[in-house]
Amino acid sequence: MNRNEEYTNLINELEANIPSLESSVVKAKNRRMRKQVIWRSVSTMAAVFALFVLLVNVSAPIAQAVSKVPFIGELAEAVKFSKSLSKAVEKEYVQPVELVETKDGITAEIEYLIADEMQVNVFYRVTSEDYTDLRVYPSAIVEGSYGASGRGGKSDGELLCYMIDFSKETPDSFTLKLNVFESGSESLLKENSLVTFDFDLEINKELMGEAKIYNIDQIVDIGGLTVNIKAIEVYPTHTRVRIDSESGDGIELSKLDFYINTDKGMKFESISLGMVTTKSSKYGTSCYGDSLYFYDAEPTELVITGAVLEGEIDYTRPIVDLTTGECVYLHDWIELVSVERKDNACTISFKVKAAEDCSNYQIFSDSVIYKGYSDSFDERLATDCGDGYFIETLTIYDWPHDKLTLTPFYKYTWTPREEITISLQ
Amino acid sequence: MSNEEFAQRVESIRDKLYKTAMLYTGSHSQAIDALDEAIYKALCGHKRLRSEEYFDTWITRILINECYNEMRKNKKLCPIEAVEETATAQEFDSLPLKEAVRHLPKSLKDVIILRYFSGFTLAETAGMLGIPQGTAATRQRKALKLLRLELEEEVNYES
Repeated sequence: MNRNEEYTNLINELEANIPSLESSVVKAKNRRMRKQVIWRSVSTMAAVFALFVLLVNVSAPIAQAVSKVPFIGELAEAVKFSKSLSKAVEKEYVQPVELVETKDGITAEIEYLIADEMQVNVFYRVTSEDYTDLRVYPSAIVEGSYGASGRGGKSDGELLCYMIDFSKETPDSFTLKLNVFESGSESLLKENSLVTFDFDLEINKELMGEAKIYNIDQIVDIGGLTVNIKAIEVYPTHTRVRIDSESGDGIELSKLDFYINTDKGMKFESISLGMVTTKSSKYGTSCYGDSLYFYDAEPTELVITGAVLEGEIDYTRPIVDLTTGECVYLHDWIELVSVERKDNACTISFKVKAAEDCSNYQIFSDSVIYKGYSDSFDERLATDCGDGYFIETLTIYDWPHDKLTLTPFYKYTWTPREEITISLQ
Repeated sequence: MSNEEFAQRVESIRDKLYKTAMLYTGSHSQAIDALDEAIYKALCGHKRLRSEEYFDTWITRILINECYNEMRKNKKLCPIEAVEETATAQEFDSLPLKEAVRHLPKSLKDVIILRYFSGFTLAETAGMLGIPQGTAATRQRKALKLLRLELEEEVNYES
């Protein structure tokens, strides 16, 4: 096929896939409308505040607090990702906050908190007339020996949720830092941010619902890992299953799939996205599920349906030479099968012994790095050899170097032959 | 231009826009992301467009910027390396045409995508890129030669 034929084929291929752009226009209209609404609400404020805090309903009961929550519909939209938070908003379990600050043409607002004894969800918004595409990276700074983990994201001017999970009880106050970057900014170093906001947040603990604790203390075997299921704790924003790892020859629990049955015939499932497991020295492992707090129901059974386990490895990263086909720092239990570089594709295969009861295999993570460059594998294939071994084949396109560094990631999904049911009676 | 007219104009040139985004980004999903962003920015700014006759080239210019943004986001630290300005045709022979176009030096790539995939005239292409038509024609000829493409060249232009 000569180039002109290739050109004709490419044009035909492109024309066969041309999408309608109606939905793009609709999305653009909705996005612009949201931005206009936001700016109208901001412009009604008397002035630009350096730091302005108004915590309403300090001692009022939760039910009263709700009636003063503005834009509750928008909040309901912002918590759609979580069944538990949606229910909390429906039950008006919300602390309204009004914190606004403007710097260099960018305005950040903290509007609501949904807090309980272990977790705080901060609802914030960043807007600007000068920038159409901003990316916000929030972080929580807590005094003392607290640890906090959370997730943030891109801001198009809509209300966003930052979920903070504390390593021990929710503190009385903490600082929320919002680092704002222009979308597409190549460096996320703090000094390259457009602006940074520091908000001092106070948590009104009188508005927090008390957790319900159901002790279990039962030992079970999860894919070769012996664990002690300590308790089920039901909080307004989530349910957590507390686990103490007993012994597992270096295996660690990365995720637990479960559901909780209740006396009212309802079923509450583990969370599969976002924060699924945390570990702390004080509380051991916590696995997260949807909350039954606002339902008039008592848990009767915990049913374990599966888990994701990580094998023990040290984190020396093997380096593959794509020119010679050699690999250094490779662990004894991993065999390099082949290294191939053809056209713009680099394909590497490894062979390892499969763990028992394995249904899903992975040796290395998607991340590829070398000398400051980073990228991800484009294709991944796990082939069962049938003799207790499997081969993992990884392909990356357009890798510019002759070498690449891999990140070990011995993780597999375990499914029990029969679901493990633990009665709470 | 009303919002309704805006939607109709965008839909009427969707083939041009999609082909442009596909050739720059190389993937359908990235092309759609770039199109979404470009359409949003165009919607916010179309009232400021002085003459509607320039709508097609104006929105395409926005789209090209968004394609570069999208590529930067997705390949932040490892961009597609353009072949040197002094490259020869042999260096492109091993690549499929779509990839070969994406590996052209930026100055040649802009011209070849807008002329032969998006379907703009030489004058429109030169206008969008802010270069004289003569320069656009020279780049067009050079790019076609590197890609070993024998396509009709528009040679009558106003200098």
